[in-house]
Amino acid sequence: MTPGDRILFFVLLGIGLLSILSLRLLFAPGRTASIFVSNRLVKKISLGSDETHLIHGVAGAIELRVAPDGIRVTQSECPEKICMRQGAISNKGQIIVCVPNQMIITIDGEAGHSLDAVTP
Amino acid sequence: MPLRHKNSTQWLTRVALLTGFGLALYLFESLIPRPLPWIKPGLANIATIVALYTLGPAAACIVSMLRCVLGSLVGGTLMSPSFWLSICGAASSVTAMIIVRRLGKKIFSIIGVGMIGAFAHMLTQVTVAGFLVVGDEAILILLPSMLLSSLITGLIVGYASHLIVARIAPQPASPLPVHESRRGSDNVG
Repeated sequence: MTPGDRILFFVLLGIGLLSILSLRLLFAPGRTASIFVSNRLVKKISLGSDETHLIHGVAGAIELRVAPDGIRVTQSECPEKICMRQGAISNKGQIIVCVPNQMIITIDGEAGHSLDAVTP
Repeated sequence: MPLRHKNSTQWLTRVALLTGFGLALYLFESLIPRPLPWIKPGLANIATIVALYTLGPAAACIVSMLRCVLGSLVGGTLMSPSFWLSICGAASSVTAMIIVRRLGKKIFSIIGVGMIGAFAHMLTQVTVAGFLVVGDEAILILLPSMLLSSLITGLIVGYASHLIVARIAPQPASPLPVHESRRGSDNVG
């Protein structure tokens, strides 16, 4: 190992660690959720908070819960409760839809990249 | 003593031997179970580096390209996307190693050349795979694990090549000392 080799090793190590950091930023979870009712933006919620919100949909009231694992519908006055069963969302591009209430929750940011299968 | 006479039978034989050596290593490493499918040790690069240091850049190119073609022929992936990935990676790796060896003779030893080779190979494969084969920059998510693993494998491959070159070409091919136990056994014999 010459000194040049050692410098090269640490430079490449630095590039590797830097790429981890930059990918963290690039593929970061979304920061805010937008709530639409009948295609109109009614609320923007920051995902960092820990609180409950009440939204008035077309079919009745909807209760949203923001927690560290994302945003979820906890109560809804709709017949099928599909929106409640969709669970929590936190990544860019994910959505929750409640059709009877005409409500859509989206996570802001560009469409998320998630890998299905990669075979190089 | 590096052989540079490209017409000599000895040169031809050594290139053929190193190609066979690289092919054997390539097939051997494809049998090793890997925790992550995209991380390979790249042992076949040992043959290329040994060719570069004992026979010169032309031999290194021949050994590396021929190993790719023969390896995919034996492995059954000839002309498939993985063959193109492999040949692009090998071409950039051997080019980078020739350049670094020529320009950085005083700065880098054979280990540095091995690290550069592994790094160039990995970077080319991610780029080609991302933008031509998969068609999605999401493959960048593999980059950190590949970068760090290529660093380690490059180090190991470089050191292994140093051990071989120190034995088959006793001329100072690198500033590293010849292994002590080897010298001792020579004196005894």
